[in-house]
Amino acid sequence: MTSPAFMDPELLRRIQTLELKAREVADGALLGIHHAPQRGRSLEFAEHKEYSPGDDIRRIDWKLFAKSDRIYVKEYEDDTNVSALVLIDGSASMSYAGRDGVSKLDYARTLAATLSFLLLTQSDAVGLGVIGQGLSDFLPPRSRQAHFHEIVHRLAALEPRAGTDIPKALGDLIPLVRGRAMALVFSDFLDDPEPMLRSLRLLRHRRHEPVLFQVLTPEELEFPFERLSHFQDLESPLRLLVDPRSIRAEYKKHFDEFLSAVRAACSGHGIDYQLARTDDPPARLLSNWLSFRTGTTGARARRRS
Amino acid sequence: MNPGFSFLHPGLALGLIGVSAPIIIHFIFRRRARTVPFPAMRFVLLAYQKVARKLLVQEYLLLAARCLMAALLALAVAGPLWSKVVSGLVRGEKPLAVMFVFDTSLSMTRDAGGATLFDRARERADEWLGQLQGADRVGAVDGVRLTDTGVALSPDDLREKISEMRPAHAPARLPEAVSLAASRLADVQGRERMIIVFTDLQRTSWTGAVSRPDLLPPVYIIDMAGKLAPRNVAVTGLAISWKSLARDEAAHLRATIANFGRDPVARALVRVEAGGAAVAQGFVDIPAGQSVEKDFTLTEVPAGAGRVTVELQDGMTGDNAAWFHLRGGQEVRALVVDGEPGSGALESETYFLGQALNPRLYTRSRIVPREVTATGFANLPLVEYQVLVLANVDKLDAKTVERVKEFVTNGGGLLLTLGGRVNEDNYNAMWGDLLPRELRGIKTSYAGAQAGGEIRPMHIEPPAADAELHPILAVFRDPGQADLGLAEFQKYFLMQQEIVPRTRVILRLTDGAPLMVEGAYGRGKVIVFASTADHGWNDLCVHPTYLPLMQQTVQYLGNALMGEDTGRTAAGSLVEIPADSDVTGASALGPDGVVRKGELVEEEMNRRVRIPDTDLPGVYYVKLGRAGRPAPAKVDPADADRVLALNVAPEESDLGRLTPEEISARAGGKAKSLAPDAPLNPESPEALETKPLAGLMLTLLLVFALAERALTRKG
Repeated sequence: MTSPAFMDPELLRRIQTLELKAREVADGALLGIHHAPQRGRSLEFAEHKEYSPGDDIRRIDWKLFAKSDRIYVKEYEDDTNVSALVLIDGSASMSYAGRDGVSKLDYARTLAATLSFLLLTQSDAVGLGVIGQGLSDFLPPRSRQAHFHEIVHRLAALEPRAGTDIPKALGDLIPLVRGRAMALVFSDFLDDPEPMLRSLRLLRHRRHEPVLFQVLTPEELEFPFERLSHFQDLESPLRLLVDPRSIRAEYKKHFDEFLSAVRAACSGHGIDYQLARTDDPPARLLSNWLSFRTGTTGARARRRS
Repeated sequence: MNPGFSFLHPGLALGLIGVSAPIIIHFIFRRRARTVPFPAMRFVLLAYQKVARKLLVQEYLLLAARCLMAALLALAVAGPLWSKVVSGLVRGEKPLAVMFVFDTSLSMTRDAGGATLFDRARERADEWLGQLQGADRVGAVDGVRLTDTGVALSPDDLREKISEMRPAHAPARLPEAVSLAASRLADVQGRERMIIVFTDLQRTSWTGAVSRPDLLPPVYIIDMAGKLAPRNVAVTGLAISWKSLARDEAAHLRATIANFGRDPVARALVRVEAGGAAVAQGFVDIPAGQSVEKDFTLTEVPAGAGRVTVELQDGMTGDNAAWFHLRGGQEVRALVVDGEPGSGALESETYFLGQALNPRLYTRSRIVPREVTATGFANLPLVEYQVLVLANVDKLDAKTVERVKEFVTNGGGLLLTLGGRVNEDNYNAMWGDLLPRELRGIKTSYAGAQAGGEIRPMHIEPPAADAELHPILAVFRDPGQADLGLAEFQKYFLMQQEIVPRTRVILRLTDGAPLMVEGAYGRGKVIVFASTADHGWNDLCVHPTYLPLMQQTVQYLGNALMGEDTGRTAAGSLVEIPADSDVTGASALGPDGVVRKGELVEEEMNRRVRIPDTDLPGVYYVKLGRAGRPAPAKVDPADADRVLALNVAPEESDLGRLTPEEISARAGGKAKSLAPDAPLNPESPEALETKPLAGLMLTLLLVFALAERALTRKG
């Protein structure tokens, strides 16, 4: 963690605010983020597996060998040693704040910090990465409590930059992570979803568990503008003079199609997806998500046993 | 004030500058539009591209609607006025006396943009009537019928009269109509007088000149046809000829179809209808300004009215059909009673008659005779026959006489030929009122005392050239074909002279004695032939004229005599029928189903019946009142004495026009030709008609406001 002596007071305020907010939100949310899918060395037995060369001979079930004359090794469910990577979109589009003044980046920061706090509280290792034109500001996963301050500091200091390249950022991430990890991605995903989903599938293929938080404002979802306005893109010079009433229906139609496509693609590839509306209290959103997730991971565990 | 568009408050029209307001507001709004940074521009762009074209159109429409609203509001406030020059009447200090002359000929029924020329004329007259004042007096003349209203009417009264006027199917006589109008105005003192003639300048309506043009007031000829192209095809003539007197034979119909237009007509459909059904049709090509003849062969044509129609939508459809009438031709069953059968065929009283009625030629005769003796006749039922011929039949018993009378009363025909077995006293007593005339006695035609006992035979007197020919004699119209006068009559019965004529003499002998006399009895007809049917008293039976005379007589008695009327009489013309001395009047059933009462006209030796109201082309059935009986109130077409087919006069179909100079010459230089919308006097104060348009502007404003509202909502 960087020394606070020469820190920007505004940054300090933001760090404190974010920390407080994270703890507050975490209090409101449920505990128990995950059931670790990694078979490890904990006490909770998961299943038998036929021995293959290279397996730890300490895990051979000798009793079963005596009974069946075949060599099996025991596998256990480990719920303590998960690595989680918080990936946050630092593009300019994330700086957009709706009428309530909460920017998507602020909202994403709150969620990311809260989840980091919760994970670290459970002694899980949490890392951080910022999605820009590639992966930047990467912080490897650690399970120390002090690591939380480092994460919060990095989150608070995050300034939105021009564009994003999520596929490249995810590509950059893969060699940096050892073992299985949960990738919590916070972004508005407003770019072309196809390359992004391809990268997420790749991540999934590498036995990582991507979780998408699509952070959107009500304005993006409902396009409630009334007056003739110049609409200015945040990441390009595109500027359009439009009477919003005349295109609202068409806009919503396209946007809903886009959301449905993302949702369907995630569902089709077993990727957790959560729409995060900035007008939704973060505690409630996380609480709902955690309840849903607990149910889902419980079901997975049940299926395995 | 000048004609055209103007304002009541021209200064307020400056408000039109307000038209630019919506455009300025539009641009101000564009400039003042705030900038909204937005991340999901991909979707904004997609939506915009989808609706951009529609939005652009809507935007322009909205802008146009708003500009128009501003313009209309500014115009409505400024009090817009539309003034046009109308044909004002020439008005001086004095009140006016105006006679309107309407060309009511068929050519005025031509279509001129949704209304006929006559309707347009009526509208124009109505406009002028609207300009007249209380003290002005008006009147109108019908150019075809030459009837007028006088000149004492108020404009409102004349409007009513004009609305009742109808075009006829006949040519107009406009010089006479103008003369009539002038004569009416001549009596009017202390007023400005004028005559306004509404016409299409058709040449045939202007035959002749106006009488006493020096007395004419100003005459304005309003040319209603203007630049209307003369396009007209008409059936201008029909001719029917019967191929023979035999049954199963055809008739030929020749229709003349004329093209009075400037363009040729190709494949015009000509249809022949008879008895309510189409019986023939064909196509004709008619070069411009020429006529063609189209021949049709008609077989088994039903008797009755028929017409030939050119199926063409030309300028004037009223003359596209020509009517004709066919009658007779049906089979006649005749019972021929031989009163003096001989031992050999040639000695039989009815031998020649039987041969004449059924000559057994190459085809069947229309007459089917059956010959019986007087004895056999007593027991035969008569209902199967249409005609009974009693040839030299002596006294019959009372019962048979009654049967014969009943037969004739019910419409049968009776032919009595006389001879040696007939006794005049018995005959007169036996038949009584059935006989057209009582018999006086037999006359032998001796040459006179100087010639001793030599017989000087009589001949049949040829009918007078101007006399109306009896239908039986129609076939002898051309003496070159067959001469009845060649036969010699040595003996014949004389008949009583009539003081009050009740019968019709069909043929006379050269001494004036009636040879063939027709009388009516009940619904039937009786004809007495005063000599023998064989060669006993005359040699007619060996002459070629015998056969057609007997055929015609029996067919006539059986109401089957073929004949036709091909409509040579023009509709709307004076229709008069020659009347014998016993005719008391006539009733005519017109094509409109209305019975017209004919008027008996007697001028010296010339008696005729005049049929009124013959404007309508078609077939008229005339029933004469005879022998002291008045004409019937109802007319049965099957029982008509005369049938007339009236058609449009061919000259009315010719739409050739006069030039204004020719018209002026016909009115002694006092007529001036004008277009319908040209003012008679542009300087007249009434010549400018002004209409306020503020109401229209406000209505349009409301319409555009609603449109703007709809577009805004849609946007």
